[in-house]
Amino acid sequence: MSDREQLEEQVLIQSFARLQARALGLSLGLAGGLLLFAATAVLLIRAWLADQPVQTVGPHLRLLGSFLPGYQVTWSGAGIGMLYGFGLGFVLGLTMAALLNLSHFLYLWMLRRRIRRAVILDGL
Amino acid sequence: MGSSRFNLPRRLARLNALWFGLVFGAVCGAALWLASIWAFFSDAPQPRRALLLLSQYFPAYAPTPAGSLVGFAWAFATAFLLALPTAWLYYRGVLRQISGGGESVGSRALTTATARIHLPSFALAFGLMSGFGLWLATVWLVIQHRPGAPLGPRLALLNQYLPGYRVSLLGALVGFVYLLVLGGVFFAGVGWIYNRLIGAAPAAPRSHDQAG
Repeated sequence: MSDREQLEEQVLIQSFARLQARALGLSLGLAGGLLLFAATAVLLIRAWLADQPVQTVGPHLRLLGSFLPGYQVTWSGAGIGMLYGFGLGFVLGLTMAALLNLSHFLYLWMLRRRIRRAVILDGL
Repeated sequence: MGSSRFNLPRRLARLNALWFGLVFGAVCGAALWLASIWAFFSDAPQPRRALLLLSQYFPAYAPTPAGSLVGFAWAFATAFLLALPTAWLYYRGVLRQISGGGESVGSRALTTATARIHLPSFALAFGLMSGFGLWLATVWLVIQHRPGAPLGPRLALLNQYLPGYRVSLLGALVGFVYLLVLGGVFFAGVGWIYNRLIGAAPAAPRSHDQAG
């Protein structure tokens, strides 16, 4: 195999390589969970430094509690938010990877069918 | 044949970018549609009020059954347009760094190879997407602003996390730089964890990083 063919093969493989859905879900979940935890923690630490009561902190971030039951701008809420962030990130990653893999699979399947049909027609 | 081979990375980058854009658009559209329907049937008014803020960006959107379809279309279009250049940039970065020195892997590898994330391209592409997203959201509010009305009071709250950020044209640039960096770090983290997990898995035949 020539260098050019090897290059072409690697380009193709990298382009159509499968994403591991569970791994992408876990990585997005972990990062998402940490992000929501950090966003809550920043507000709590700022309130603590300014000697403000926790109840007055982050009225807008608290709105997330409307979508994520149990979430609050408190330390326990930050923990709950981390779990929610993980769950949402996991589902997002899993879905994205599954759909991207499906699109690759369908494209390759279609190409194979086309090639097979062309080979059959060539043989006639 | 020679010229088509020469253009192969570019073509595949475009194809993958299109797929990614469609998938990301569909996921975002579905997420907003679901949230809108849930808010519509929810007893509490807060979810509806919070979602209604999106109508500043998505005209005719409302958390109602009909409005949720409008929301789906807007979210799909916005996410698609943001993700398309992002994915194109990423795949171009990845494919350009592939060298021809690897060993042959056989025809089955095309369907079984596992992708590793190329961290520099991933962080740059998604950092740019995050930065551009905030820039666009800020500039949109500035353009739409009517004299006398408050200018983006809710988006301005981001300065609690991003000191110096304001809802203004200059603030849009500050926000762009912030999210370019923070988004880049966030997605580099996502890619790093992903690659670690893939590395721990038994079948990880090829790496984007190997080529880079």
